[in-house]
Amino acid sequence: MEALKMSEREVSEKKRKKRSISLYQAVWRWHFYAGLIFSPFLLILAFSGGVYLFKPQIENVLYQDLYFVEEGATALAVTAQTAGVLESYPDASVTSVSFYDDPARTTEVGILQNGEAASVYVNPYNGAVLGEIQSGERFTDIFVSIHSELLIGGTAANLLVELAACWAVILLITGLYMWWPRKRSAIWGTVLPRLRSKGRTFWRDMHAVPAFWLSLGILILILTGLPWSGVMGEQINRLATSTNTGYPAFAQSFGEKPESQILAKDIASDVPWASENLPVPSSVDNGYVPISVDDAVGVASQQNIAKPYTISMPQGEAGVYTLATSHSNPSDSATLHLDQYTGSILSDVRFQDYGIMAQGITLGIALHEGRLFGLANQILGLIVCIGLIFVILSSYVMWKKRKPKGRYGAPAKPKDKKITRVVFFIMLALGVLMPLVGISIIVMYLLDRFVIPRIRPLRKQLFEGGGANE
Amino acid sequence: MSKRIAALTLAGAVFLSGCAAGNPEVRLAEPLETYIYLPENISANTPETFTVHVTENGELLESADDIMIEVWQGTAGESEWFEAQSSEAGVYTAEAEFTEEGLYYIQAHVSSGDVSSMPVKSFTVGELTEEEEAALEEEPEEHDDGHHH
Repeated sequence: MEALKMSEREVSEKKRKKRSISLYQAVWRWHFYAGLIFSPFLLILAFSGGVYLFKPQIENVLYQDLYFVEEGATALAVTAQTAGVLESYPDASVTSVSFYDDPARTTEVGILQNGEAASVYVNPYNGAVLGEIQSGERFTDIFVSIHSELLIGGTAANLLVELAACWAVILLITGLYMWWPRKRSAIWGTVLPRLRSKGRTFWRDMHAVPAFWLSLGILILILTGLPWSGVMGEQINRLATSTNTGYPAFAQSFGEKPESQILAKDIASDVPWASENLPVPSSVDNGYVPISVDDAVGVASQQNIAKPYTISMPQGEAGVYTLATSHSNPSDSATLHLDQYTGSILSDVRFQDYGIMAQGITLGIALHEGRLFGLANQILGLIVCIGLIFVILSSYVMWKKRKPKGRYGAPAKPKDKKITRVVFFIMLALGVLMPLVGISIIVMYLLDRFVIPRIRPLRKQLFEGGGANE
Repeated sequence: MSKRIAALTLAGAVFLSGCAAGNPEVRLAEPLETYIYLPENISANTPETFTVHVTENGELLESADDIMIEVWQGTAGESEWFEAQSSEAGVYTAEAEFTEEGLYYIQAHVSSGDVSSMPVKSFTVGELTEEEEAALEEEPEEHDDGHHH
């Protein structure tokens, strides 16, 4: 009786162990192939992101002659500053004016000249025009272009970045599964590396231990980066809209704008004519002209708009002055639209007016860009970027050490076909959450099923090569 | 176990793609409407009365905090400020006299609570010089960046 029970337990234990090995192998295969394909992209993202984090410091040094002047006593009127710009650029039109909180910073005047946008920097104390930077030609613009669209640009590149970011989530999940301590007391090789061991164990620890420590940071950077992405970003927007927790209308300076009321209409029908003494407006050309940018600046200070902010000039007859904070503390976020003829506030949306999701997204973006809590935020971001590069490089070394010459050294297919299938469906489910992942899995599956079997040598290398090794 | 995870993720995805319109309401400022009325023919060296008509939410604004009227000549130059007097509910007037003929601008600065309105109107005293005529022609162009594409 007793012996039978023991052996029953032994058998089930053995079964469980076999299963767990199969599961490990299946997860490892996913981790291996995903890493092989997407780590180059993740390297690019970590590098470009790490540089871009320090955009303010880098630009302050590179463009110090344009950005900084000796602080004077009183600043000139903004119209006087823009007039100076138009004197230097007679064919240009002013599109925007930006103000910074450092009193030694120059005023940045956005101009459009022969269809080309540029920023012109003006000393606010004497009106001297210091120079220009063509839009998109800042040093850091290169890095933002690499980071968001791999320098090639276009939707395809943007989707590729999103695909890599989403696969990074899968790499994190599968990696954490493999990292998970099998024995409860195992500190070495999990939270601390086995520094004294050599070869593969050492490099495995150099990969898995820092990756564990960085996993939360990496996940946060991926999640806070997703609102920019084409597919997931759209889903996030839809979720915010459907739950009424997104951005209110007119919340963003680049979005839809209200319209200025053109006072050319027949006033008599709109206004209560209480007074007989009022003269009747005589001409169709009513004589109203847009208010000056100085008046818009006046509204900005009256409404406690925190610097740095940008005033965009009205576009067309029904256009509006748009006052929007830029790259400041998210809680100072404000976007105001002013009627260009009266300066009255058509809409005023602050951070507090955002829905809870929009607030979260705004905070997340600031965190991602390293401007939520100053230098500490930038340094934390940098640590994650450098750590990610290290983890990718160590994984490469660890693979090299395992890989037989001339073969890919992929982990073997698990013996238990059922486990393979279960893991496949979990991945597919994650693919539903992250549509690009789902599509790529289906494409890979179809390739694996129908194309690769027809190319025998490749199949040998990719899928049977590493089998004997583990 | 894995089936449950799959079901949960699926449910999450359906939730994500669920679509219904709606966004937080925008807080719009109370509309303050200000109209400036000019005397029909303004000539130099005669006192002229300018009238400002103010409504808030379609009602005549009886007690604006203060209504100032600013007048300046051409594009540059010093501006002159007048305090407008209320002649009746919603109607404010100020008197000004011009020594020089030319192109002028008048701006009414109206505020009520933390809402303000400050329309600008151009007008001529006497005859315009050719230069001023040209400047007036250019006026919309200067503020209209949309047409430069």
